[in-house]
Amino acid sequence: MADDHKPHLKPGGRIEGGIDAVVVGATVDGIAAAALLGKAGLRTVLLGAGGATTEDEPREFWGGYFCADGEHLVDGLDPETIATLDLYRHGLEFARRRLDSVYFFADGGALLMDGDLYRTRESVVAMAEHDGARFADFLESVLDASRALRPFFEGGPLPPLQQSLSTAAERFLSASVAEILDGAFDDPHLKDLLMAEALFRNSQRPHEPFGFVSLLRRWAGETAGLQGAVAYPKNGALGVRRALRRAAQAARVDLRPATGISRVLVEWDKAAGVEMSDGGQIRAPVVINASPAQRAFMDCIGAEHLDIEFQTAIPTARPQFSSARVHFALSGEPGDERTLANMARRLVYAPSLHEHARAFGAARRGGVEPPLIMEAIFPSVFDPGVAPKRCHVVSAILHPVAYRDKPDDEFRDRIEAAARATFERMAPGSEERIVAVDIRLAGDARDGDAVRNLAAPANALDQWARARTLSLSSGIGGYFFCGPEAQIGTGFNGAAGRRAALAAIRYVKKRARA
Amino acid sequence: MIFAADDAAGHGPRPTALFGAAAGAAAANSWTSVNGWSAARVYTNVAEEYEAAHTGVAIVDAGPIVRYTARGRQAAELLARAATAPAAALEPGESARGLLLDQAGNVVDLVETARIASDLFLLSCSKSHARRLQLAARGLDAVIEDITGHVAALALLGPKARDAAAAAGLDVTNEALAVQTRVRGVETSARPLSFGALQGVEVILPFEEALTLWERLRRAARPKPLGLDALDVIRIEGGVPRIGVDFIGADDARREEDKRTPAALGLAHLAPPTRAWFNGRRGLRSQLAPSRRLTVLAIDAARVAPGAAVFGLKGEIGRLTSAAFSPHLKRMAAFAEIATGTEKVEVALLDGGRAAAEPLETAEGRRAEAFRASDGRATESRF
Repeated sequence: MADDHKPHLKPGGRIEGGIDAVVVGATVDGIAAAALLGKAGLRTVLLGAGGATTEDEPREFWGGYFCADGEHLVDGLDPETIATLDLYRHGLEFARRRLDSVYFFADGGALLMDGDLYRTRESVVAMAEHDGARFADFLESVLDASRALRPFFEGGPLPPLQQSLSTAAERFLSASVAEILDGAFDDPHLKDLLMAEALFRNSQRPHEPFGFVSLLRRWAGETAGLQGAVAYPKNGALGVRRALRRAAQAARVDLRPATGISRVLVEWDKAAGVEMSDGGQIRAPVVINASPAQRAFMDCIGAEHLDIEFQTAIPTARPQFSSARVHFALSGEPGDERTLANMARRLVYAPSLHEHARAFGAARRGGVEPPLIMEAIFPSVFDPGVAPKRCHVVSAILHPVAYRDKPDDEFRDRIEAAARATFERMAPGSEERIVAVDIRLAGDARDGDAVRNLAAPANALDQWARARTLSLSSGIGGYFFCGPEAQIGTGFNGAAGRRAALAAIRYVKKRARA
Repeated sequence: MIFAADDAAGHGPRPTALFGAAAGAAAANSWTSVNGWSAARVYTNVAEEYEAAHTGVAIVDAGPIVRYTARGRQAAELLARAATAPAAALEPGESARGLLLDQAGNVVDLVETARIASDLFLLSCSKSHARRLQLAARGLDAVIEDITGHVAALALLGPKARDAAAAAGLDVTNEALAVQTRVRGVETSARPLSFGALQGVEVILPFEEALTLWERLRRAARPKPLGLDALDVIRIEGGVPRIGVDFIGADDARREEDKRTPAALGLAHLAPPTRAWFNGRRGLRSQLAPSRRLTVLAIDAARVAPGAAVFGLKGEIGRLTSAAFSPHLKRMAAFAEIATGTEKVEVALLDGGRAAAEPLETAEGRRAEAFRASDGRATESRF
């Protein structure tokens, strides 16, 4: 009998049986998958990355100032996951269901846009009357294409599109951001605004093909029933995770976030359970892994059990660009009236094309060149407990910065300087009130860590192809994947976890029939 | 030792290490390019070369065969993963034939794996598979290196091959294992070889010393140089398909329907799904039985062309993929891809007529039959 067919037993290790499914990785997708399996009646164990986990608790980054790592806004939490797990009943609540955005431009101008993308025409008309109709048509066309392509962005096959839509969708999928926006509008602010939204957390530069699809992906998302909207959940990112965890508990999932695994057991080309770091085993016919692909396949399964063609889908190249997660502790309220009036909104610094070129060029060379695209909110406005009285916390994401595996202090200092300089453009006079700055980078990530998603992914089409392969073609029966590479785009989503759970349930039913 | 198809648009091929000697012996001056290396199609006369290989000893310049070494603690795992040959089960000195398969279980190439030392293997392929093998090495403590241009390779085929090798000073006392030895100060590795129905010895040595050994062999045993055309007759009689001629390797196929499974090539015995995991094993298990199979036919004709239609009782059932006149059979031998289970067939001739043909029993076919009869358990592929 070949080696891979032998049960891998370690003397002394505890062997647990009677379990239907094991989910590895307490990420949003991992918890969602575990909750869905539990809800389907499968006895499910959810394991974490091992070690203490702090992701469900706010982190005090300066005396009396708290922050949460990872995403700070929700722009596309999978509606089916919310409905199936009844997350609203389990505590999911939005402090702002539809966050209006204020864009700040290089020339000092600003524009307030309604949180409902379908109602932004009025804002545009107020700024550039002659572009209003063109902007409305453009927006409608992009939103229609985004909506039609939503199953595609969730990792499904390309849906059949109507003739009228397919031509536009084809162009949106393949063109660069600059190609789409050049000549579309006369007003430069409109171009800067859309360019900032399209390039934010994207690895494609303004003139690179397949860049615009990133905006299509973001606007395909639905938040609180509104397409393309951005919402702030109560307690930020922690609120979403807590709701998911409660849903998992309600579904009788056995949560063990501090238990890590050393490998997945494979017998006769089928998953047979997991071996834990302490040598014990959990035997189960279904394993869902929410760890990054490198860990989920190369470390947990082993190259010797994977087909060579499948292995090519596991990313090895280091990402070139990433975003930086920044928190400012402010000793008082922002100094200028304009920021003061917009603290309950999403603030975005939209650089000019020239500034984009400089920022992406510097990031490509391994550096940082302000101003960058910055998305900022004041969590202390929605949740006063995160900062001392009359003080504030600013939660921001800065893009693009160079990706570094091991960021040093000098690099952090440069990012801090860039963050301060960019924030100063949005809120002049606020810099002197910054008492502390907290910076988390993609290189700081541990397995399953929330900041891992800060690395800018390849373009959405590459991501889709990779996600399809990794999710569907490992060839190991009963082994399903919903790690970060199974998701297209950035941000909270949960669709990858749902898809993995549904595939696992189908597998269990098929196995029972056989 | 299977040569890939001639390079379609090859010009200015590189000389192999033995080119100087081969050119001197190639009275017919008929050359081609295989994998970018020069290869003689005919040296003197196909019938004479064929005869020498069956009655005495023939020498083949095996320089165009692509060679890789795999070194390291997990070199055995690497090769066991990349190819179906049971690399991990080989003892030092042992060799085994196998296939490279893609994820879906389609044949990429025919290969031979030889274990030179506990952590050193030699992999011989018809074509270059650098990317595939580099990917296979990912995640394993092993290094794969293409040594094709750094070594010379020659093969001695025929009943007197071992005697000829011994006469030249090579250590071929062990009939089953590869042996490293020094011949007048030159490091050589000689290993047993099987080509169709013929047995022989393959010798690998440093590139610069190739002509010295050829000359030693020539003086000691006068082996007859064997060109690609004579080799083609021997391989068709032996039932060994040639990549690029009888089938398209899965990595080169542009359409799914052009890919072939081991069973479709009559090589299922080289990829038993019960063997320890190899690339494509899962895909192989889900493959359906092929409706067409590569079969060797003996055709009652003096000349047929590759591509000729093959007819069964109900009309056309396939096409010839390669053909050669067999001096032994005194008629044409050809590979044909035809519907399975066909006994009596006819082959279209160039003049519009038809010639009767029948399946020919080959050495490879016997191995495949033994594999089928044992329900997939007779999987011996070692030399």
